[in-house]
Amino acid sequence: MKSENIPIDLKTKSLIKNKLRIYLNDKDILDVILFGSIVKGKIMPEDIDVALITDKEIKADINGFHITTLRLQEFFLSPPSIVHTLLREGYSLKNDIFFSENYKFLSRVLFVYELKNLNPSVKVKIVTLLRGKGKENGLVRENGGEWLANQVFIMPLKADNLLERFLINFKINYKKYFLLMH
Amino acid sequence: MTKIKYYNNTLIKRKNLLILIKKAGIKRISKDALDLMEQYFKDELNILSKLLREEIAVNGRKTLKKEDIHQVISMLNKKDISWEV
Repeated sequence: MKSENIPIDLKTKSLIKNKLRIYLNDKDILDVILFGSIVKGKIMPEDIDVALITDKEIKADINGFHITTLRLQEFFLSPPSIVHTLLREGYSLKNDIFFSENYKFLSRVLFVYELKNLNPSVKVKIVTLLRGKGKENGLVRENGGEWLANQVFIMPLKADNLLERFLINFKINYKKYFLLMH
Repeated sequence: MTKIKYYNNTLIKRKNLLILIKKAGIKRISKDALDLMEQYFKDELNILSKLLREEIAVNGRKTLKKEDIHQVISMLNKKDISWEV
């Protein structure tokens, strides 16, 4: 199964895979998982977060990569917070799918916003930009999102960064929740 | 050597690129080097376009303005992208 929401373009992915080739070819490493800003749609992140799932002792150091090693038992016995992060947003480079998709879950981000404090013309502008006008899709649908209710929508992980920047830019009060949908 | 059937010409016409290179003082350039240079321009332009698309979306506009370009370029200059090297 190939992920429908590949967070990074093919060229960047092959560049990353090339840099991590030794770990991807190592049979003692169960998985090489990308997480952090690159998965959330940041076009040029300063560094790339990677988790190696292995029981082997590895001292990984690649320029521009922040590599964390996780033992398999850490997923079951008092899991550290990085395990939650991997479930939420990890992208498996060995399987080319989101880590959560291994368990038939879909990673999504839910945004809830309110426009109370804004003046009417700005409110109209924001609604038009988010929902679109006439036949034109707004920011939400254009980026693979879906409206659940008034002022509530879900987005694929890759559009998280874009939508968050938009809401912050217009000083909109919002709350963000990460979802795993089955 | 096999003859190149088409030029990329994505960002700058090959003819103009050659003029630019010669003006800078480089007397000769191989075809492979020229191709690589064109590919590099194309990749950079792709990244810039993606960043600009995001910038105008964040600003709630459809029109690309001068200030978007200034913003994106200053952002790119601040960043130290070491993983791509």
